[in-house]
Amino acid sequence: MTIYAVGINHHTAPVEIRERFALSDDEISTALRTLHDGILKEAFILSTCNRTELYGVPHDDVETDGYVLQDFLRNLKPEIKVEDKYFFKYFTCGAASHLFNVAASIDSQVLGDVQILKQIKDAYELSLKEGASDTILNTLLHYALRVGKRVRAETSLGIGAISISYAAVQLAGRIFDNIHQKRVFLIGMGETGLLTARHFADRGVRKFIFANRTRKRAEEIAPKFEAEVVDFSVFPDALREADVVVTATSSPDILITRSMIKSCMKGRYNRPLLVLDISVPRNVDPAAGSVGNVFLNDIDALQGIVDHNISKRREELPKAGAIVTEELMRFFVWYNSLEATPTIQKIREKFERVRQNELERFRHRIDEKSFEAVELLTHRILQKILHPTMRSLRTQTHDVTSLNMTVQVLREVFDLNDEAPDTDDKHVEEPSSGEDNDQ
Amino acid sequence: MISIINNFLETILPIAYALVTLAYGLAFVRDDAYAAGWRTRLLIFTLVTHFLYIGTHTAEYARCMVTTPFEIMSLIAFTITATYAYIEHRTRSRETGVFMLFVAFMFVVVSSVMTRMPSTPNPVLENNTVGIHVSTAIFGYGALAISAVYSFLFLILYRNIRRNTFGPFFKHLPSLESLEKLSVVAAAIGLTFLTVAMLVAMIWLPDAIDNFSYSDPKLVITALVWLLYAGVLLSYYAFKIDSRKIMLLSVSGFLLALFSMTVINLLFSSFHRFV
Repeated sequence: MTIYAVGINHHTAPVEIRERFALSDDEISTALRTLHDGILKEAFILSTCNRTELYGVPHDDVETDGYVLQDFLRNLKPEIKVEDKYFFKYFTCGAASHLFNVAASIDSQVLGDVQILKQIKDAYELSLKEGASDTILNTLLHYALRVGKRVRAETSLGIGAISISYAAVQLAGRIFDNIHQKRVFLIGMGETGLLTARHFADRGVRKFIFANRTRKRAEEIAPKFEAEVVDFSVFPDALREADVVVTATSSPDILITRSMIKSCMKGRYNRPLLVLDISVPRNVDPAAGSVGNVFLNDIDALQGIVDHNISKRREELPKAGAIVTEELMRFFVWYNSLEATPTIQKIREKFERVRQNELERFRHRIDEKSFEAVELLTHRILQKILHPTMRSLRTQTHDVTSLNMTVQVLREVFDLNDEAPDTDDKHVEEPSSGEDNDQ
Repeated sequence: MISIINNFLETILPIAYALVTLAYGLAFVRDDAYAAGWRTRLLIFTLVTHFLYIGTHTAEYARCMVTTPFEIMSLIAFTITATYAYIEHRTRSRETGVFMLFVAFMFVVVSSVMTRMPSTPNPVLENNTVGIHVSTAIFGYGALAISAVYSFLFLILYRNIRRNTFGPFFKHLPSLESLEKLSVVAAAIGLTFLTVAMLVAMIWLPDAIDNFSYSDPKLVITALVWLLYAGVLLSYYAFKIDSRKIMLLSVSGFLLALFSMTVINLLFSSFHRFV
């Protein structure tokens, strides 16, 4: 029984391949149905802007391998020529390890990406809806989601801004108590400036002032933010109204001087003013930062926050890695127990058959009440005899070699090898953490 | 028996404060999950120990812990810790704990090392008005200590942001606006209690004490502390001056209060000493 993981991601394929290879929910549903009806007993597809990955467990009687699944995936988008070198292929332990790393956001392009766990959850729900996921992938995905949750709860891997625009919002959060009540003044409609305004809007800011050399451009964008637009020539007057000023223009000149800031601070009763100069070359006179209660930060300062947060996230990698390893071990204890399950089942059935046969021979010699007592007695004796054997099998699930040897010995001792192995997954059990339940 | 318990509590109290400060410190600086898990439990243990210590001390000497400045320091430490525990319980914010508890720890250490027991209580302290004076003064100084800690944290964060230093202070502390508000509110509460303590003293002291003098260094310094904190509140609410200057004023006021409580008490002869 093998678990396959095949796909492309940001480690293996360039963005122009990844972005075109991303699958919609409808495409995933169709693919899952096709796989489930054909080569795979269980299937799960995760498709985001950075990865399209197929996880599968093949039918016992169907010949398959990673290349078959790779071709299947490639044929989902025949118009894109994806070479073999862009695909990765992992099997069982590698596949589980990869999925756990993805869930832990260790494998993400943006280390500690907070979106990935929800994307896995959504993909899993789609797989369940299509009936493509069963015992093995269900358990694998439960463990993967647990890894993701634990990493978020027990480490700081997802903490801290790691983009310039979000760092600006984080900085504002260290100065102002209620950011949502503050007024943000955006000078210049550059991409980074707008992204910063978007982050402020996401944090609940509803008061925006926009100024741009081309007023029309500001007026086009303003409705999205419900922003007030002012003429570029009069922006110094608007400084007094703002709590956060973001300059993001392509102007090579200093637009905001120290004297402008000083006179503006008098008009605003020394309330704190955060000035974020994310233009290169800078638009704010660096001397303006010496005015009391003015916090002037340029792109290098914001990059400093980003670098600090990235290094902090990297420091969390060993903790996250330890969680992945711990959960992998737990998963494989369960997974290996699948090897023992048919043998456990056969032993039980064999002993039960012997017991029933002997009881039948005995039935007519005693009355009904005594028979019930004997039946109960033999049942208990059987359980007590079998219990150490079952426990021995279950406690060895952390070591596949030892488990396989024990299984082989038991099959020899109890003469089970002549009987057809039963690998029906209906008999698959969750690993027991304690004593045999049948005792 | 009470004496044994009191001695035991007196010994473990600084240890308890050291441990709880360490736990909050490790959680703040290193994000230590183990310390973070234990800090609130240690805080409760420390508060209970301190409360029991006040009880056993009072029972052993059959008087309130107001005879020496070092006993009062212990009470101020308890006030700071209890107030911080209340703030933590209400806001669920534990990030300023290490600083509050460090100040409380320092008070407890000085108090434990320096406590001297008079054999007989000074009859002046049997006056009922002394209870109002001392308890309001303790609440007042406790609140001013809290205000000073918030001001100190404000100044650190202010400096970190201005210098683009993004370490644990930047990561963990509340915003500058929050720290400023907390400091000013604590200063307002402290000043109110201090005003009551001073008014009560002005009514009671001249009649109760023979060698009373308005030029007593302790009284002069206390009046200066009062003026500094009045300046803090006026600057914040009326003059709207630069926040950093207001916070500097608050820290200065507390340092002056501390100076009055220790150096002035030790070096200058004052009617305000009852030992």
